[in-house]
Amino acid sequence: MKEASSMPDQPGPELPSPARISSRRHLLQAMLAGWGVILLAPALYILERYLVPAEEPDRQNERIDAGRFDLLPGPSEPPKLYRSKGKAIYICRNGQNQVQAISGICTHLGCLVEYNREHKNFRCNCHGSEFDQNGNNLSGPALRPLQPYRAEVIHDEVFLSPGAQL
Amino acid sequence: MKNFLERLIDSALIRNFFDALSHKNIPATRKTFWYFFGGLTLFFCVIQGISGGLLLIYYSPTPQTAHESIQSILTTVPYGWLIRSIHVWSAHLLITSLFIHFGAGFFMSAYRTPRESVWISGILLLFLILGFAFTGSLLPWDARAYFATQIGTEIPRSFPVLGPFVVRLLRGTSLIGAESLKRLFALHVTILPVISILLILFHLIVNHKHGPSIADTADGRNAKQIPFFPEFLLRDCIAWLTGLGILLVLALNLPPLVGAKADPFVSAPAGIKPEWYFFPLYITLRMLPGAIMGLNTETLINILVAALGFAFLLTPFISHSSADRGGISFPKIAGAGILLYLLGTTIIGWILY
Repeated sequence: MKEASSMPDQPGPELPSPARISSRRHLLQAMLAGWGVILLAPALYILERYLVPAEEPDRQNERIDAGRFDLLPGPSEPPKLYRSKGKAIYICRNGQNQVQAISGICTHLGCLVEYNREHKNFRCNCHGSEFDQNGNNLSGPALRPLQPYRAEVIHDEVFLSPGAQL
Repeated sequence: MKNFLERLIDSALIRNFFDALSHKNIPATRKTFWYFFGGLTLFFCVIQGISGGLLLIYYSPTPQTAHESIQSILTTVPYGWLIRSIHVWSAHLLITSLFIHFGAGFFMSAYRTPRESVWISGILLLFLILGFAFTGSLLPWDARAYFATQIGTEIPRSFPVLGPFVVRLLRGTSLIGAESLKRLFALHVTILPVISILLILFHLIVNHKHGPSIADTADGRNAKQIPFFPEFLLRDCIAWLTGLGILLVLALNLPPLVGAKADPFVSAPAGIKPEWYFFPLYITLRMLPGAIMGLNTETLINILVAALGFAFLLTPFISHSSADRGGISFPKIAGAGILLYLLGTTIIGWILY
């Protein structure tokens, strides 16, 4: 033991045997480790609660009011982009009381696709995926068509909900 | 063949690190007790780093959102109140422990050759930590924080020559506002931490190299020597556990509130006063008349505080080390006088105002 050897000539109380010191040290080390565990467990729990963000209400199936039917662009015009609460939807009129609505969110990695007036299709500038006017994937890394929206026209007001047109 | 973990440990020089620590000895004298406050200060610095990083996730530093984000941390974020309470209380304990560490070092003449660089880095860290306290106090953007910052950034104005420039540098605009909040925020969460971490590393490395100052004295040479690792470090662990216990009792039982949102057009609330560690300055400002012998009092106080700071920085060079081998010397008497003044004004600030 270092403590004992460094003061050889000082008379003092008789030192406990090395075996006793060792077992006492083990007990103290175990107690310290126990303390660590006791403190760490609640700390990790609190950290988890603090860091994990609160659940958000599911807006996936919410019905969206997209404005008046007669203000939407016609079938030959570029579609209008409706944006709200994490949704971006390209909308245009498609004949008498008919609306075409498809999501503008690329099915590859979530960028917003751009409408190309010349080719009358959708193109994602992030990785080059292309979709036709109806949202079907044509080329590039996107493997699924753009999400279609079901449109209902009620009293000249357009309402959208996720799903294919009936 | 060594396994993966052992190779990694050897490559990172971890064994060498602990080897070096186990060869360093700390003399166990009656004064060794005061050594725990250095480790304790470091411990609270670590707590501040962790809790501050966590608060940073939800805090938003604009006049429109700062107060609201603190409110939301207190009311809607799970355990947000606890994280903030720990950050605030740990700041108090950090400063307490730091003052004790500073005082112990001073009165035990820890600045003697060859420890000049340990001492100077320590004094700079003391100022930096007070800078943390000051810059952090504006962040909740409540009335008290607002006026504390108004006053705190106004005081340097009367400093000769540099004053107005320093005020402009701190505030970003002529009045406290969005720009000031961003500046103090950047200081609090990036600039001060980076400088402090580098200085703390320096402080620890040079201190390790030179060893404790008691070792140079007859007392230290005759005392029982404890290896730093693991014996002294385990004693440090006990100090840290005690500090953590005190911190948790305070943080759990007395979570600090946040005042009404800062409004530059509402007068300062009655009973407003700074944090206790600024009481000496605050009481001095309150007690003295506006001018002393034709000189502006603020200017005098600025010069006095700067002179005091320099005196502490230069203590190793001012004091004669032969006079410090024990017994009474000029720095000790001056230091005792300053200590009495600091304690006295702190108590006055607590009781009278």
